[in-house]
Amino acid sequence: MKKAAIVLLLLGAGLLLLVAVSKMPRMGDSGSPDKTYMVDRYVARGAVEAGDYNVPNDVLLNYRAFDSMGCAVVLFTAFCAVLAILGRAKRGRSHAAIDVSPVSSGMIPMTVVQLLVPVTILFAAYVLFAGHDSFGYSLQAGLLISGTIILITLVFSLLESTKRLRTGVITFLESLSVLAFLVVGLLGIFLQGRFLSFSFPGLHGDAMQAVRLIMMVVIGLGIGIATAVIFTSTLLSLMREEGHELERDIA
Amino acid sequence: MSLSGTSHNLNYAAAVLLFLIGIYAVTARPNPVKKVMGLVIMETAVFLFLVSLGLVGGGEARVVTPGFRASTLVNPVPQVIVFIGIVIAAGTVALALSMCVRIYREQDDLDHLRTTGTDGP
Repeated sequence: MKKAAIVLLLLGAGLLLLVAVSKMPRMGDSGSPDKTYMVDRYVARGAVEAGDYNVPNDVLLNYRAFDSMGCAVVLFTAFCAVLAILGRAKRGRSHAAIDVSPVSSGMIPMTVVQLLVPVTILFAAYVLFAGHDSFGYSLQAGLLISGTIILITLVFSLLESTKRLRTGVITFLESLSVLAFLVVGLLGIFLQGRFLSFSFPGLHGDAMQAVRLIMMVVIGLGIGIATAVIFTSTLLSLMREEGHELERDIA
Repeated sequence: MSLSGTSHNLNYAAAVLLFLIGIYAVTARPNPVKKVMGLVIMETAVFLFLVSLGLVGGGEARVVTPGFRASTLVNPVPQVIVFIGIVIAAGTVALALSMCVRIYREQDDLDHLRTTGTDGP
C-alpha cells in the first residue's frame, strides 16, 4: 500500500519534471545562458592566465581554487565525523593475537595480491601526476591507493596492514589536503598579496607557468595522500570492534 | 503540456529517471544500506544532469597538447562542479555507512530499525 502510493507520487513528479526538461534549451546549444560571460574567458585565456592547457584543471585549481579548498575541508570534516562515530583504532603489535585474520586466504589470492599491488600503486601514482595531461586527478589516485590497502588488509591479516602504517604518521597525513591548500594559499599571500594567488613576483612566461604547475601538483599530491589515508583509517576504525568481540571469545 | 522536447534532451530525461529511482530506493526500502544506495543513485543523476548542461555540440573536452588549439571547448565549469560534488558524495556516503555500522553494532539487525529505544516494539 505504501509502496503503491510512493510509486504514484513519483510518477506524478516525474511527469512534471519531464515536461520541464522538454522545455529546456536544446542540449548542445552554444547560445544558452549558462555558457556566456565567464566561460568564454576561461576557455580563451585559461592556458595563459592559469598556467595549464588543460582547461577544466585550471578552472578547478586556479580560477575556482577556493571551492576546491572547501571540498578538501568537507572531506576532512566528514572523516572527523566518521572517527567520532566509529572511534579510532589502536591496532598493531599490542593486539597481535586478535589482528591475525580469522579468514585464512589460500595461496592463490595471496600470490595474486602480491603481484598486483606494486602495479596498482604505480598506476595510482601515474593517475596523480598525469592529471594535467590526460584523465587523472588527485582524489581518484587516493581512492586507488586506499583500495589497494583495503585489499591487502582483507587478504592478509589486519596485523600486516597495521605493522606497516604507523599511527602518528597516519594521523598527520590525514590533514595533508587542507594543509596543502593552506600552505599554497598563504604562499600566495606572502608572494603577491592575495590568498591562493598563483603568482611569483618577477617571473614571466614559461617560468611562471612552471611555478603554477608545481603549485597545482603540490595541491594534488596533498589531496591524493590525504584521501588514501582517510579511507584507510576509516577501514581500520571499522575493524576495531570486531577485535574486541574476538577478545571476548578468546578470554 | 507536451513531452515532444525530450527527444533532443535525452540526457536530462535520463537524469530525471535515475533521480526518481533513487527517491524510490530511499523512501520505499526499510534497510538503511539500501537507502544509502538510493542516495548515491540520486547524486549520480544530479551529476549526469550537470555535466549534460555544459555540452556544446562538436566541442572538445579539454586541450591535450600545448600547441593544439581546439575550436570550441565543452563548458568546463559543470565538470568542475561535478568533480567537487563527487568528493562530497564520497564523504557523505562514508559518514552514512559508518552510521549504519554503528546501528548494526547496537541493534544487530538492520532490516527492522528500532527508533523508540532498545526494549519493546
